[in-house]
Amino acid sequence: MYVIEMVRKSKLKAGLAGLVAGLIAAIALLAILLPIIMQYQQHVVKSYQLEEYAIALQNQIKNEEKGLTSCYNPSAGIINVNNTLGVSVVVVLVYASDGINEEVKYFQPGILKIEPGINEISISNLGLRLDASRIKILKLVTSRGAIIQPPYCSEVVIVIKGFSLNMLLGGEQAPGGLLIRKGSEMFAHGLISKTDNSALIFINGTLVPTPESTGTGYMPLAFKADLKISDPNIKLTIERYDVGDYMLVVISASSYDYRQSNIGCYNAYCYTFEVKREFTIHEFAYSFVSKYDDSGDNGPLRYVLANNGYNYVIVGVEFSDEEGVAELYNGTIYVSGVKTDNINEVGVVVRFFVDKVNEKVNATLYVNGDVVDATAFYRIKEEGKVSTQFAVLLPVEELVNIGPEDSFWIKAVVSKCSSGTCLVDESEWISFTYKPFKLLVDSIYEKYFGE
Amino acid sequence: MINYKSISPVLSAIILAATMIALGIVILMWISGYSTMVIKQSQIDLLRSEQAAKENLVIVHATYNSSESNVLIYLLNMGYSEVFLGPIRIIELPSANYIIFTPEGIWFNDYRAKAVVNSTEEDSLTALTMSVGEVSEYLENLEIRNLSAITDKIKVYALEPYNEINGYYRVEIPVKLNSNKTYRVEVWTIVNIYGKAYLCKLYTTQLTT
Repeated sequence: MYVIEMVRKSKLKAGLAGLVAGLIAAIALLAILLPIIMQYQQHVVKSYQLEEYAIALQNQIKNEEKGLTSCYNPSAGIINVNNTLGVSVVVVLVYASDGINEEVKYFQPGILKIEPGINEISISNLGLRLDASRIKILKLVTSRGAIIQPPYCSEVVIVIKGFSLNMLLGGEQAPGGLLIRKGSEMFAHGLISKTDNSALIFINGTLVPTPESTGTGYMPLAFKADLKISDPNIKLTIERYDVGDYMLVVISASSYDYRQSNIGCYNAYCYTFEVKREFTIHEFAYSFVSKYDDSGDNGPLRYVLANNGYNYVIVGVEFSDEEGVAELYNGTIYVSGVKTDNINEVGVVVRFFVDKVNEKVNATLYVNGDVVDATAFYRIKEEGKVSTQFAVLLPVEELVNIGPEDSFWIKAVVSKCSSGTCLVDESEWISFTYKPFKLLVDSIYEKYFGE
Repeated sequence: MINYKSISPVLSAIILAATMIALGIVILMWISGYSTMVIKQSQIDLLRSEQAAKENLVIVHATYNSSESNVLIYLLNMGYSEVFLGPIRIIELPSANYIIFTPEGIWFNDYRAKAVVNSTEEDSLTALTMSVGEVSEYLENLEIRNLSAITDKIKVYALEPYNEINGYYRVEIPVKLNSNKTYRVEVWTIVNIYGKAYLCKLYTTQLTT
């Protein structure tokens, strides 16, 4: 009995010792692991905070880029900037280049400000010595780090209710409509649509030049307005020859011409609209296609084209055609939510070719690798008149996750092949803000035609 | 018949206990060492992320001056603290004027950095040299697998915030480029942690000649 009792006590002691040893080991292990756990927790929390901070910083830059609409008028040497942010923006640096010479001007914070509303900044006031009419690249850097690169503008850009327009004539400017006298003319060609009733005609859409109708110097017309108004001192003439302008007009006319004409349109039904004699303009809105210069390198790419449409964007290219040389152009246009060096990451890719000799084009649109029907427009070079343009219609809301007011990036790579050799030219990534005209078009439509 | 002398049970218990204690100590030291390494890597990662999130270097423009065979890059430090400008490379020029990380095809272009203060270009900035940090993962995006290949120190330039120097920086890379070609430029910033240099943030741009 005594022996059994001794053995039991001995086992109890051993068990207790084991338990204590185990506890000590567990505490030691915990003491070692605790700093790792704490560091891991700190890592997770701080990483999250840093990510938030980085996103906030990027959003600030993105908002400035979106809220500053700008264009450059080389003939006047004026940069027009419309600041829709509601607060002043400080510009600290201006870069300008004519393709050969360049100038950089630094401004101490507070000296050069872009106030809310429309601002006109003169090149001479910036202290730039370059010939204003020859400036090809302009960049304004804000104190947040946003870079504004104004495209050329032929007219002062007006931003009304958030829409970037070059011209606008509404009911407020001409109550009851503007009477256009005999001898006037309005012409439009492209992917346009028409609605009419007994009193009014409503036309809107993207314009494409056609050699069927020509303007001054026999240039192929996309749009013409030769308007004589009741006041003999007022006469307005506009002729446009580019692919990608957007137009809306509401008129009343006793007769007009509207017929199908697919010249310059690929995989789309285009129309020609023409009105002569007397008519009344009730509403008129016009947006010029933006042209981003790439001619400095003497490559085949002259401009990258971009404009908004009803619920889509138009992106394209203009080539540097050489006189008298028959060429085949190939190209790729990349549209991406982010600026990337890895073109495999780009969601929307357009591959195309333009056969100038046979006046044919072909376009294939890839969205995340899948082929989607492409609608495209083109203008074939005419000697001494116009150079070749190609543009594609991208319903970005439908294709990719780009919504109104979102900025995205465009890049074009083109190659010109002649006599068996090809020359490649590539643009920089260009930022463009999607501001569809849908709301404007729908509101004007409802005003005259109801829902 | 061989007569084995039996080992004392006390001795065998002591040997067993000593072995277990030694093994326990080794395991604890390994865990302790591992945890120290994990903590250090995590701290470096956090410091690097913090710098990357806060710095705001702007590449205003990159251009090629064919008459002087120079690539020019205009930089502005829009952040609130100094940024260390590290290696720069033109992707399409793997062999030109390398400066560090030459083995295994890893190279960077030699360059000069100048401050332009109040529209006046100053002399070239004085380069600082830093030893490369040991944590390999931050070099993997440069495809550097063999750390022993890194023999040189990284050369960096300290770029002050724009409002402190009242100006911007101009980087000159002496290279000859072909015409009618597009070149991609990578600009790395460096962060100094515990006296060692780590690649921090990559900025990219491109130019067409």
